[in-house]
Amino acid sequence: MLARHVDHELSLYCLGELAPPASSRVAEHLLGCARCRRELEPVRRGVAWARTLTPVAASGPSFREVEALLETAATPRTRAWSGRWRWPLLAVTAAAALLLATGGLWLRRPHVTVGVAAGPLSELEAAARAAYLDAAPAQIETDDRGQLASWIGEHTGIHVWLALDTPMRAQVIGLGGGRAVAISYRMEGRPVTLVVASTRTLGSAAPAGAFLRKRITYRHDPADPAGDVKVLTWTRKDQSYALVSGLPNLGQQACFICHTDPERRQLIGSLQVPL
Amino acid sequence: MALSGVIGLTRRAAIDGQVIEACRQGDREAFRQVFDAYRDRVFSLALHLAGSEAAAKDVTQQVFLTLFTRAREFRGDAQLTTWLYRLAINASIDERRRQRRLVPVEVAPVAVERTLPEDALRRRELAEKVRAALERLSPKLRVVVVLKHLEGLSYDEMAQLLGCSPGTVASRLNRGHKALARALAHLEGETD
Repeated sequence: MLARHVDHELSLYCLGELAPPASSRVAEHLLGCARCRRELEPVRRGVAWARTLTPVAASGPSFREVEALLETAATPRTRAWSGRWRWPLLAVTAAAALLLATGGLWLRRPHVTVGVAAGPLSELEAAARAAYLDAAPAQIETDDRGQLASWIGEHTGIHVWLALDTPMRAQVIGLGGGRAVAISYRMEGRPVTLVVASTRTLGSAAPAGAFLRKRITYRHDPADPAGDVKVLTWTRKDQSYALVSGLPNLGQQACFICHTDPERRQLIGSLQVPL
Repeated sequence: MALSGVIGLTRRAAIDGQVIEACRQGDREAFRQVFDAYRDRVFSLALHLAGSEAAAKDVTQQVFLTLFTRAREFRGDAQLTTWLYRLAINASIDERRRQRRLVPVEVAPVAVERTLPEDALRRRELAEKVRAALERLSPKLRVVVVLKHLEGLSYDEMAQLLGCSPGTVASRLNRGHKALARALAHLEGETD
Protein backbone atom coordinates (compact mmCIF):
# COMPACT_ATOMS: atom_id res chain seq x y z
CA MET A 1 0.00 0.00 0.00
CA LEU A 2 1.47 3.33 -1.01
CA ALA A 3 1.54 6.03 1.64
CA ARG A 4 0.65 8.97 -0.59
CA HIS A 5 0.23 11.50 2.13
CA VAL A 6 -1.19 14.84 1.16
CA ASP A 7 0.41 17.09 3.77
CA HIS A 8 2.18 19.21 1.15
CA GLU A 9 -1.19 20.02 -0.44
CA LEU A 10 -3.05 20.93 2.73
CA SER A 11 -2.49 24.70 2.53
CA LEU A 12 -3.82 24.89 -1.02
CA TYR A 13 -6.66 22.56 -0.05
CA CYS A 14 -7.66 24.82 2.83
CA LEU A 15 -7.36 27.87 0.59
CA GLY A 16 -9.66 26.19 -1.94
CA GLU A 17 -7.05 26.58 -4.65
CA LEU A 18 -6.68 22.94 -5.64
CA ALA A 19 -8.25 21.86 -8.92
CA PRO A 20 -11.44 19.80 -8.36
CA PRO A 21 -9.85 16.37 -9.05
CA ALA A 22 -6.94 17.09 -6.72
CA SER A 23 -9.25 18.49 -4.07
CA SER A 24 -11.42 15.34 -4.21
CA ARG A 25 -8.31 13.18 -3.99
CA VAL A 26 -7.09 15.06 -0.91
CA ALA A 27 -10.55 14.90 0.70
CA GLU A 28 -10.72 11.17 0.03
CA HIS A 29 -7.25 10.63 1.47
CA LEU A 30 -8.12 12.61 4.59
CA LEU A 31 -11.08 10.34 5.26
CA GLY A 32 -8.81 7.35 5.58
CA CYS A 33 -5.59 8.86 6.97
CA ALA A 34 -5.45 9.92 10.61
CA ARG A 35 -1.96 11.36 10.22
CA CYS A 36 -2.96 13.82 7.50
CA ARG A 37 -6.15 14.68 9.40
CA ARG A 38 -4.00 15.64 12.39
CA GLU A 39 -1.92 17.86 10.08
CA LEU A 40 -5.02 19.43 8.55
CA GLU A 41 -6.41 21.08 11.67
CA PRO A 42 -3.49 23.41 12.54
CA VAL A 43 -2.99 24.25 8.85
CA ARG A 44 -6.68 25.10 8.51
CA ARG A 45 -6.55 27.34 11.60
CA GLY A 46 -3.35 28.99 10.37
CA VAL A 47 -4.94 29.66 6.98
CA ALA A 48 -7.96 31.21 8.71
CA TRP A 49 -5.68 33.54 10.68
CA ALA A 50 -3.57 34.41 7.67
CA ARG A 51 -6.70 35.29 5.73
CA THR A 52 -7.32 38.14 8.14
CA LEU A 53 -4.14 39.82 6.93
CA THR A 54 -4.93 42.75 4.69
CA PRO A 55 -2.72 45.00 2.58
CA VAL A 56 -1.83 48.15 4.43
CA ALA A 57 -2.93 51.48 3.05
CA ALA A 58 0.29 53.09 1.92
CA SER A 59 1.83 55.90 3.82
CA GLY A 60 5.13 55.09 2.21
CA PRO A 61 7.59 57.56 0.79
CA SER A 62 6.48 60.08 -1.79
CA PHE A 63 8.09 60.28 -5.19
CA ARG A 64 9.69 63.56 -4.14
CA GLU A 65 11.52 61.83 -1.29
CA VAL A 66 12.87 59.12 -3.57
CA GLU A 67 13.71 61.72 -6.18
CA ALA A 68 15.71 63.66 -3.59
CA LEU A 69 17.66 60.51 -2.73
CA LEU A 70 18.17 59.91 -6.41
CA GLU A 71 19.66 63.38 -6.84
CA THR A 72 22.07 62.70 -3.98
CA ALA A 73 23.05 59.36 -5.46
CA ALA A 74 23.53 60.90 -8.90
CA THR A 75 25.78 63.71 -7.70
CA PRO A 76 29.22 62.93 -9.11
CA ARG A 77 31.93 62.39 -6.56
CA THR A 78 34.79 64.67 -7.28
CA ARG A 79 37.70 62.84 -5.86
CA ALA A 80 40.89 63.70 -7.64
CA TRP A 81 43.16 60.77 -8.18
CA SER A 82 46.07 62.81 -9.09
CA GLY A 83 49.72 63.06 -8.36
CA ARG A 84 52.06 60.15 -8.02
CA TRP A 85 49.32 57.51 -7.25
CA ARG A 86 47.35 58.07 -10.45
CA TRP A 87 49.27 55.78 -12.83
CA PRO A 88 49.95 52.96 -10.36
CA LEU A 89 46.26 52.96 -9.51
CA LEU A 90 45.28 52.79 -13.17
CA ALA A 91 47.71 49.91 -13.70
CA VAL A 92 46.30 47.98 -10.75
CA THR A 93 42.74 48.59 -11.98
CA ALA A 94 43.63 47.40 -15.49
CA ALA A 95 45.31 44.28 -14.10
CA ALA A 96 42.27 43.52 -11.91
CA ALA A 97 39.93 44.00 -14.88
CA LEU A 98 42.05 41.64 -17.00
CA LEU A 99 42.05 39.08 -14.21
CA LEU A 100 38.29 39.32 -13.85
CA ALA A 101 37.73 38.98 -17.59
CA THR A 102 40.01 35.94 -17.81
CA GLY A 103 38.37 34.39 -14.74
CA GLY A 104 34.93 35.04 -16.20
CA LEU A 105 35.81 33.33 -19.47
CA TRP A 106 37.30 30.41 -17.59
CA LEU A 107 34.21 30.04 -15.40
CA ARG A 108 31.94 30.04 -18.46
CA ARG A 109 33.59 26.88 -19.77
CA PRO A 110 31.64 23.70 -19.12
CA HIS A 111 33.25 22.19 -16.07
CA VAL A 112 32.36 18.53 -16.26
CA THR A 113 34.90 15.75 -16.36
CA VAL A 114 34.29 12.05 -16.76
CA GLY A 115 36.58 9.46 -15.20
CA VAL A 116 36.41 5.69 -15.58
CA ALA A 117 36.24 3.48 -12.49
CA ALA A 118 37.73 0.03 -12.19
CA GLY A 119 37.86 -2.52 -9.37
CA PRO A 120 35.07 -3.50 -7.02
CA LEU A 121 31.86 -1.51 -6.86
CA SER A 122 31.65 1.11 -4.14
CA GLU A 123 28.92 0.82 -1.52
CA LEU A 124 26.87 3.50 -3.30
CA GLU A 125 27.28 1.86 -6.72
CA ALA A 126 26.39 -1.57 -5.33
CA ALA A 127 23.25 -0.21 -3.65
CA ALA A 128 22.17 1.53 -6.86
CA ARG A 129 22.80 -1.58 -8.94
CA ALA A 130 20.84 -3.73 -6.48
CA ALA A 131 17.91 -1.30 -6.53
CA TYR A 132 18.02 -1.25 -10.34
CA LEU A 133 18.05 -5.03 -10.67
CA ASP A 134 15.78 -5.99 -7.79
CA ALA A 135 12.77 -3.87 -8.72
CA ALA A 136 11.73 -3.86 -5.06
CA PRO A 137 8.20 -2.61 -4.30
CA ALA A 138 8.00 1.16 -4.24
CA GLN A 139 6.87 3.04 -1.14
CA ILE A 140 5.60 5.90 -3.25
CA GLU A 141 4.65 6.09 -6.90
CA THR A 142 3.76 9.45 -8.39
CA ASP A 143 4.23 11.79 -11.32
CA ASP A 144 4.01 14.81 -9.03
CA ARG A 145 7.60 15.99 -8.49
CA GLY A 146 6.58 18.27 -5.62
CA GLN A 147 4.94 15.39 -3.80
CA LEU A 148 7.95 13.18 -4.43
CA ALA A 149 10.39 15.85 -3.19
CA SER A 150 8.35 16.37 -0.01
CA TRP A 151 8.09 12.64 0.61
CA ILE A 152 11.81 12.09 0.16
CA GLY A 153 12.67 15.09 2.33
CA GLU A 154 10.37 13.88 5.06
CA HIS A 155 11.63 10.30 5.07
CA THR A 156 15.34 10.80 4.45
CA GLY A 157 16.22 14.47 4.86
CA ILE A 158 17.54 14.39 1.29
CA HIS A 159 16.63 17.14 -1.14
CA VAL A 160 15.92 15.90 -4.66
CA TRP A 161 14.11 17.96 -7.26
CA LEU A 162 13.46 16.11 -10.49
CA ALA A 163 12.49 18.44 -13.28
CA LEU A 164 10.35 16.23 -15.51
CA ASP A 165 6.76 15.25 -14.80
CA THR A 166 7.24 11.57 -15.43
CA PRO A 167 5.96 8.65 -13.33
CA MET A 168 8.50 7.96 -10.59
CA ARG A 169 8.71 5.32 -7.89
CA ALA A 170 10.81 5.67 -4.77
CA GLN A 171 11.83 3.67 -1.76
CA VAL A 172 14.00 4.40 1.25
CA ILE A 173 17.08 2.19 1.47
CA GLY A 174 19.73 1.79 4.16
CA LEU A 175 23.18 2.94 3.12
CA GLY A 176 26.34 3.71 5.09
CA GLY A 177 24.45 3.47 8.37
CA GLY A 178 21.96 6.10 7.24
CA ARG A 179 18.99 6.52 4.98
CA ALA A 180 19.19 6.97 1.23
CA VAL A 181 16.55 7.00 -1.46
CA ALA A 182 16.27 4.93 -4.65
CA ILE A 183 14.17 6.56 -7.35
CA SER A 184 13.14 4.62 -10.46
CA TYR A 185 11.80 6.08 -13.66
CA ARG A 186 11.88 5.38 -17.39
CA MET A 187 13.81 7.29 -19.99
CA GLU A 188 13.26 6.46 -23.67
CA GLY A 189 11.27 3.44 -22.51
CA ARG A 190 14.18 2.01 -20.49
CA PRO A 191 14.35 1.68 -16.72
CA VAL A 192 16.65 3.98 -14.80
CA THR A 193 17.47 4.01 -11.08
CA LEU A 194 18.87 7.00 -9.23
CA VAL A 195 20.15 6.56 -5.69
CA VAL A 196 20.83 9.66 -3.59
CA ALA A 197 22.60 9.57 -0.24
CA SER A 198 24.07 12.06 2.15
CA THR A 199 27.80 12.47 1.53
CA ARG A 200 28.38 12.75 5.26
CA THR A 201 26.71 9.39 5.82
CA LEU A 202 28.82 7.76 3.13
CA GLY A 203 32.03 9.24 4.52
CA SER A 204 35.10 8.24 2.56
CA ALA A 205 32.96 5.97 0.35
CA ALA A 206 31.36 9.03 -1.28
CA PRO A 207 32.44 9.77 -4.87
CA ALA A 208 35.25 12.30 -4.84
CA GLY A 209 34.55 15.76 -6.14
CA ALA A 210 36.93 17.97 -8.11
CA PHE A 211 37.99 21.55 -7.60
CA LEU A 212 35.52 23.86 -9.40
CA ARG A 213 34.37 20.96 -11.55
CA LYS A 214 31.64 18.38 -11.54
CA ARG A 215 33.43 15.06 -11.65
CA ILE A 216 31.40 12.11 -12.91
CA THR A 217 32.70 8.59 -12.63
CA TYR A 218 31.54 6.01 -15.15
CA ARG A 219 31.78 2.25 -15.18
CA HIS A 220 30.28 -0.79 -16.89
CA ASP A 221 28.65 -3.14 -14.44
CA PRO A 222 31.36 -5.82 -14.06
CA ALA A 223 28.66 -8.47 -13.46
CA ASP A 224 27.06 -7.71 -16.80
CA PRO A 225 29.26 -9.22 -19.52
CA ALA A 226 27.14 -7.68 -22.27
CA GLY A 227 28.12 -4.25 -20.96
CA ASP A 228 24.57 -2.94 -21.14
CA VAL A 229 24.33 -1.78 -17.53
CA LYS A 230 26.11 1.51 -16.89
CA VAL A 231 26.71 3.25 -13.58
CA LEU A 232 27.43 6.96 -13.18
CA THR A 233 28.35 8.42 -9.80
CA TRP A 234 29.08 11.93 -8.61
CA THR A 235 28.93 14.21 -5.59
CA ARG A 236 27.26 17.57 -5.57
CA LYS A 237 27.26 19.80 -2.52
CA ASP A 238 26.51 17.50 0.41
CA GLN A 239 24.80 14.70 -1.51
CA SER A 240 26.15 11.79 -3.55
CA TYR A 241 24.38 10.24 -6.52
CA ALA A 242 24.50 6.97 -8.46
CA LEU A 243 22.60 6.54 -11.71
CA VAL A 244 22.12 3.08 -13.24
CA SER A 245 20.60 2.40 -16.63
CA GLY A 246 20.89 0.42 -19.82
CA LEU A 247 20.76 3.54 -21.99
CA PRO A 248 23.21 3.96 -24.88
CA ASN A 249 26.73 5.42 -24.63
CA LEU A 250 27.43 6.31 -20.98
CA GLY A 251 23.76 6.19 -20.08
CA GLN A 252 23.97 9.95 -19.69
CA GLN A 253 20.54 10.42 -21.23
CA ALA A 254 19.19 9.45 -17.79
CA CYS A 255 20.58 12.77 -16.54
CA PHE A 256 17.84 14.57 -18.48
CA ILE A 257 15.46 13.88 -15.59
CA CYS A 258 17.10 16.86 -13.86
CA HIS A 259 18.76 18.73 -16.71
CA THR A 260 16.12 20.20 -18.99
CA ASP A 261 18.11 23.15 -20.27
CA PRO A 262 18.96 22.59 -24.00
CA GLU A 263 22.56 23.77 -23.61
CA ARG A 264 23.13 21.52 -20.65
CA ARG A 265 21.61 18.59 -22.53
CA GLN A 266 23.90 19.22 -25.45
CA LEU A 267 26.87 19.20 -23.10
CA ILE A 268 25.68 16.01 -21.42
CA GLY A 269 25.12 14.37 -24.82
CA SER A 270 28.68 15.18 -25.85
CA LEU A 271 30.32 13.55 -22.81
CA GLN A 272 32.80 10.86 -23.74
CA VAL A 273 34.74 8.30 -21.78
CA PRO A 274 38.39 9.38 -21.86
CA LEU A 275 40.59 6.71 -23.40
CA MET B 1 15.39 29.84 -15.10
CA ALA B 2 12.91 31.60 -17.35
CA LEU B 3 11.07 34.42 -15.68
CA SER B 4 8.20 34.37 -18.11
CA GLY B 5 6.36 32.10 -15.72
CA VAL B 6 5.95 34.90 -13.22
CA ILE B 7 2.73 35.92 -14.89
CA GLY B 8 0.89 36.76 -11.71
CA LEU B 9 3.35 39.49 -10.90
CA THR B 10 2.79 41.25 -14.15
CA ARG B 11 -0.96 41.07 -14.38
CA ARG B 12 -1.62 43.15 -11.30
CA ALA B 13 0.21 46.34 -12.06
CA ALA B 14 0.94 46.31 -15.74
CA ILE B 15 3.61 48.69 -16.89
CA ASP B 16 4.04 48.55 -20.60
CA GLY B 17 7.29 47.97 -22.41
CA GLN B 18 7.52 51.58 -23.55
CA VAL B 19 7.57 52.82 -19.96
CA ILE B 20 10.29 50.35 -19.06
CA GLU B 21 12.28 51.35 -22.09
CA ALA B 22 11.88 55.01 -21.09
CA CYS B 23 13.08 54.10 -17.59
CA ARG B 24 16.13 52.49 -19.09
CA GLN B 25 16.82 55.74 -20.90
CA GLY B 26 16.64 57.60 -17.57
CA ASP B 27 13.24 59.25 -18.17
CA ARG B 28 12.13 60.65 -14.80
CA GLU B 29 8.43 60.70 -15.74
CA ALA B 30 8.60 56.99 -16.57
CA PHE B 31 10.19 56.38 -13.17
CA ARG B 32 7.29 58.16 -11.60
CA GLN B 33 4.83 55.88 -13.40
CA VAL B 34 6.66 52.78 -12.18
CA PHE B 35 6.80 54.25 -8.69
CA ASP B 36 3.06 55.01 -8.68
CA ALA B 37 2.24 51.55 -10.02
CA TYR B 38 4.27 49.61 -7.44
CA ARG B 39 4.78 51.82 -4.39
CA ASP B 40 1.76 50.55 -2.43
CA ARG B 41 2.57 46.94 -3.16
CA VAL B 42 6.23 47.27 -2.20
CA PHE B 43 5.39 49.27 0.93
CA SER B 44 2.75 46.76 2.07
CA LEU B 45 5.10 43.84 1.45
CA ALA B 46 7.93 45.60 3.30
CA LEU B 47 5.66 46.51 6.22
CA HIS B 48 4.69 42.88 6.75
CA LEU B 49 8.24 41.63 6.34
CA ALA B 50 10.27 44.37 8.01
CA GLY B 51 7.83 44.92 10.86
CA SER B 52 7.54 48.68 11.27
CA GLU B 53 6.29 51.57 9.22
CA ALA B 54 9.61 53.42 9.43
CA ALA B 55 11.52 50.34 8.29
CA ALA B 56 9.02 49.74 5.48
CA LYS B 57 9.46 53.32 4.31
CA ASP B 58 13.25 52.93 4.27
CA VAL B 59 12.94 49.66 2.39
CA THR B 60 10.57 51.18 -0.17
CA GLN B 61 12.95 54.08 -0.76
CA GLN B 62 15.88 51.72 -1.08
CA VAL B 63 14.01 49.46 -3.53
CA PHE B 64 13.09 52.29 -5.87
CA LEU B 65 16.46 53.93 -5.59
CA THR B 66 18.09 50.67 -6.65
CA LEU B 67 15.52 50.27 -9.39
CA PHE B 68 16.13 53.73 -10.78
CA THR B 69 19.91 53.57 -10.61
CA ARG B 70 20.04 50.15 -12.27
CA ALA B 71 17.18 50.60 -14.73
CA ARG B 72 19.44 49.90 -17.72
CA GLU B 73 19.65 46.27 -16.69
CA PHE B 74 15.94 45.61 -17.24
CA ARG B 75 14.96 43.42 -20.17
CA GLY B 76 11.19 43.14 -19.79
CA ASP B 77 8.24 43.73 -17.54
CA ALA B 78 8.34 40.30 -15.91
CA GLN B 79 11.95 40.81 -15.01
CA LEU B 80 11.18 44.26 -13.60
CA THR B 81 8.41 43.01 -11.33
CA THR B 82 10.28 39.93 -10.27
CA TRP B 83 13.29 42.06 -9.46
CA LEU B 84 11.17 44.50 -7.49
CA TYR B 85 9.78 41.71 -5.35
CA ARG B 86 13.22 40.23 -4.81
CA LEU B 87 14.66 43.60 -3.87
CA ALA B 88 11.79 44.22 -1.46
CA ILE B 89 12.09 40.81 0.20
CA ASN B 90 15.87 40.96 0.57
CA ALA B 91 15.90 44.58 1.73
CA SER B 92 13.15 43.87 4.27
CA ILE B 93 14.98 40.90 5.73
CA ASP B 94 18.23 42.91 5.89
CA GLU B 95 16.44 45.82 7.52
CA ARG B 96 14.89 43.52 10.06
CA ARG B 97 18.28 42.01 10.85
CA ARG B 98 19.78 45.50 11.20
CA GLN B 99 17.02 46.56 13.57
CA ARG B 100 17.68 43.57 15.79
CA ARG B 101 21.22 44.79 16.32
CA LEU B 102 19.97 48.17 17.50
CA VAL B 103 18.90 48.88 21.04
CA PRO B 104 15.10 48.72 21.14
CA VAL B 105 13.36 51.99 21.81
CA GLU B 106 10.35 52.09 24.09
CA VAL B 107 7.39 52.78 21.87
CA ALA B 108 4.11 54.00 23.25
CA PRO B 109 1.17 51.85 22.19
CA VAL B 110 -0.86 53.32 19.39
CA ALA B 111 -3.94 55.05 20.75
CA VAL B 112 -7.01 53.25 19.51
CA GLU B 113 -9.69 55.49 18.09
CA ARG B 114 -12.57 54.98 20.47
CA THR B 115 -14.97 56.45 17.98
CA LEU B 116 -14.78 53.33 15.84
CA PRO B 117 -17.70 50.91 16.11
CA GLU B 118 -16.94 48.11 18.54
CA ASP B 119 -16.85 45.46 15.84
CA ALA B 120 -14.40 47.41 13.68
CA LEU B 121 -12.29 48.08 16.74
CA ARG B 122 -12.18 44.41 17.63
CA ARG B 123 -11.25 43.50 14.06
CA ARG B 124 -8.45 46.02 14.04
CA GLU B 125 -7.06 44.73 17.33
CA LEU B 126 -7.24 41.20 16.05
CA ALA B 127 -5.48 42.18 12.83
CA GLU B 128 -2.70 43.74 14.93
CA LYS B 129 -2.32 40.53 16.91
CA VAL B 130 -2.14 38.47 13.72
CA ARG B 131 0.48 40.82 12.32
CA ALA B 132 2.48 40.57 15.55
CA ALA B 133 2.34 36.77 15.35
CA LEU B 134 3.43 36.92 11.72
CA GLU B 135 6.43 39.02 12.72
CA ARG B 136 7.55 36.34 15.13
CA LEU B 137 7.81 33.75 12.35
CA SER B 138 11.22 33.09 10.86
CA PRO B 139 11.90 35.16 7.68
CA LYS B 140 11.57 32.09 5.44
CA LEU B 141 8.11 31.23 6.74
CA ARG B 142 6.97 34.85 6.96
CA VAL B 143 7.86 35.55 3.35
CA VAL B 144 5.77 32.70 1.92
CA VAL B 145 2.76 33.51 4.11
CA VAL B 146 2.89 37.16 3.02
CA LEU B 147 3.42 36.35 -0.65
CA LYS B 148 0.54 33.89 -0.60
CA HIS B 149 -2.01 35.84 1.39
CA LEU B 150 -1.23 39.43 0.48
CA GLU B 151 0.18 39.05 -3.02
CA GLY B 152 -1.75 35.95 -4.08
CA LEU B 153 1.24 34.32 -5.76
CA SER B 154 1.13 30.67 -6.82
CA TYR B 155 3.65 28.10 -5.59
CA ASP B 156 5.50 28.24 -8.93
CA GLU B 157 5.69 32.04 -8.82
CA MET B 158 7.00 32.00 -5.26
CA ALA B 159 9.49 29.26 -6.13
CA GLN B 160 10.89 31.36 -9.00
CA LEU B 161 11.03 34.44 -6.85
CA LEU B 162 12.72 32.75 -3.89
CA GLY B 163 14.97 30.46 -5.93
CA CYS B 164 13.69 27.23 -4.40
CA SER B 165 11.42 24.39 -5.46
CA PRO B 166 7.60 24.51 -5.32
CA GLY B 167 7.86 21.57 -2.90
CA THR B 168 9.92 23.71 -0.54
CA VAL B 169 7.39 26.53 -0.86
CA ALA B 170 4.56 24.11 -0.02
CA SER B 171 6.43 22.82 3.00
CA ARG B 172 7.30 26.32 4.26
CA LEU B 173 3.73 27.50 3.80
CA ASN B 174 2.39 24.55 5.79
CA ARG B 175 4.91 25.25 8.55
CA GLY B 176 4.04 28.95 8.45
CA HIS B 177 0.33 28.25 8.80
CA LYS B 178 0.92 25.81 11.65
CA ALA B 179 3.19 28.28 13.44
CA LEU B 180 0.56 31.01 13.10
CA ALA B 181 -2.09 28.67 14.50
CA ARG B 182 0.16 27.86 17.47
CA ALA B 183 1.01 31.50 18.14
CA LEU B 184 -2.63 32.56 18.04
CA ALA B 185 -4.18 29.54 19.74
CA HIS B 186 -5.11 31.65 22.76
CA LEU B 187 -7.33 33.81 20.54
CA GLU B 188 -9.36 30.93 19.11
CA GLY B 189 -12.99 31.91 18.80
CA GLU B 190 -12.26 35.55 18.13
CA THR B 191 -12.23 35.20 14.35
CA ASP B 192 -15.40 35.96 12.46
